[in-house]
Amino acid sequence: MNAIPTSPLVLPNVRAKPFRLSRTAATAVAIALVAVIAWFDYLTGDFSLTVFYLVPVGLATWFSGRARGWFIGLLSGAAWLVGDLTLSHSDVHPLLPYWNAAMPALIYGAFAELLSALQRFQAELEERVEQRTASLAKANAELDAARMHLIEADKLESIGRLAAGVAHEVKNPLMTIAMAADYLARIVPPTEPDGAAMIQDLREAIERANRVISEMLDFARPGALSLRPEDFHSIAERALGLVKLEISRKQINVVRDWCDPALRLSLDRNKMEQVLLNVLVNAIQAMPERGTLTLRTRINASCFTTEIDDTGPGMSAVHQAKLFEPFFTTKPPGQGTGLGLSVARQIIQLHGGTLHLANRPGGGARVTIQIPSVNNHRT
Amino acid sequence: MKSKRIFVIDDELSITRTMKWNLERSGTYSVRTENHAAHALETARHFHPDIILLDVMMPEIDGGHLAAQLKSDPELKSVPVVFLTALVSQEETTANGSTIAGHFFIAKPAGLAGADQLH
Repeated sequence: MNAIPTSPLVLPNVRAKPFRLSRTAATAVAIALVAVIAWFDYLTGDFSLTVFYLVPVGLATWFSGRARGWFIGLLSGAAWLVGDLTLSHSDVHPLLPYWNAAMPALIYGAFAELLSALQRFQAELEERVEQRTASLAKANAELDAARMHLIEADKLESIGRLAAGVAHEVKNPLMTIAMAADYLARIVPPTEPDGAAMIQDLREAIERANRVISEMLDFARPGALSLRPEDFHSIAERALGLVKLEISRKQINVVRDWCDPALRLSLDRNKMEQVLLNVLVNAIQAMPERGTLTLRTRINASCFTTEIDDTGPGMSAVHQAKLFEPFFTTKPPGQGTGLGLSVARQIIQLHGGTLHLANRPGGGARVTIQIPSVNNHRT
Repeated sequence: MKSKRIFVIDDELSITRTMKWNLERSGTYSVRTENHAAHALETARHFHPDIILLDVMMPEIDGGHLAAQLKSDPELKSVPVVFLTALVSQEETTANGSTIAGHFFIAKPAGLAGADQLH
């Protein structure tokens, strides 16, 4: 048996939520800072605060973009110029304040460019991390799916071996009992009503045991399909006919909402009947008396859809996760093998379709079966 | 009316016995049974059956192998063989007119309803 990894790779969330400031707010704060720094510069009179202008320039570039960073840089240069012109002495060359202001303005612009490049690099890096994280998550999901497939295949293989052995060992004695029941049915006189009832019970018990074994066999070996153009609605009616006693006993209201009656689908009639029977039995058993069972069919260009709704209590999240696990059942002992839905899903998958079970928003559960429209035929 | 001669080969004594009781009691069949697959060919040659019911899973010789031996025998090759098996379901056999891949099958457990398919 293959060793199966049990703990999937969990990717840690390595990215902290970044601090965000709107473009306008950042620009406003930067302008205010330039004004404050220029005011201090003017008060002190020695223009020793040049380096502090890098703060509003950086702020504007980071949060508002390169252009606004440049704008704040030039604004800082202008503030410098105004201060210098106001306080300049008459013995200096008249162009000196302009030269003095142009230098820091250029430095601020270069700083804005540098910061902007850094920001682009960070964005690229983030994108690359995101891509890598996504591909890692995808690989992780594929690994998980492969692991589940391995587990399922392993389980199927065991069930297949077990089912074949059990089928032989149980069905042979059942055959003896069935033959004996037939024999007794002939020799017990009709004046013995208890005898007749007992024989009937015996036959039902044989049928029940046989059903359990047959479901195991079906699950382990779903077999090939015998596809023919079939009237899905007549198959559904036949499946409904098989559960009509239970429907009438629980006084369940059956609603049929059929699409195109001329529709024919390439189906294996017997296997599809088994699917519907398994789903209907589940729905009926889930419902209280006087519930409503709705069967709906729809067809479009891509697929044929059947929905089977019940008005039962629905399913808990825990049960929902385990519904298709072999031998999982919420029914009392003796009422279900826990293979019905698994077998139904296998058969639908053989038809190239899907079978889902979910809670309905209004309460109750819904089974949705979808079969690709390539299986459709018009008559 | 001459009754049909049925030869039942199954390693389970209880199955062959109850089948014989039931089929013979119906008055339509004359039944011979064999629980040892190794003796089946010889018994069949003596019995001249109209039909053979043959279990698939048997310890000495499996049903498929024995069927091949029966089909290669000049006296028995025209006798139809119906397989009895626990490995297919009743739905699978009845869906295809009791045949799977061209062979006749009866799914176990079959009561007299299964024997009705022999008609």
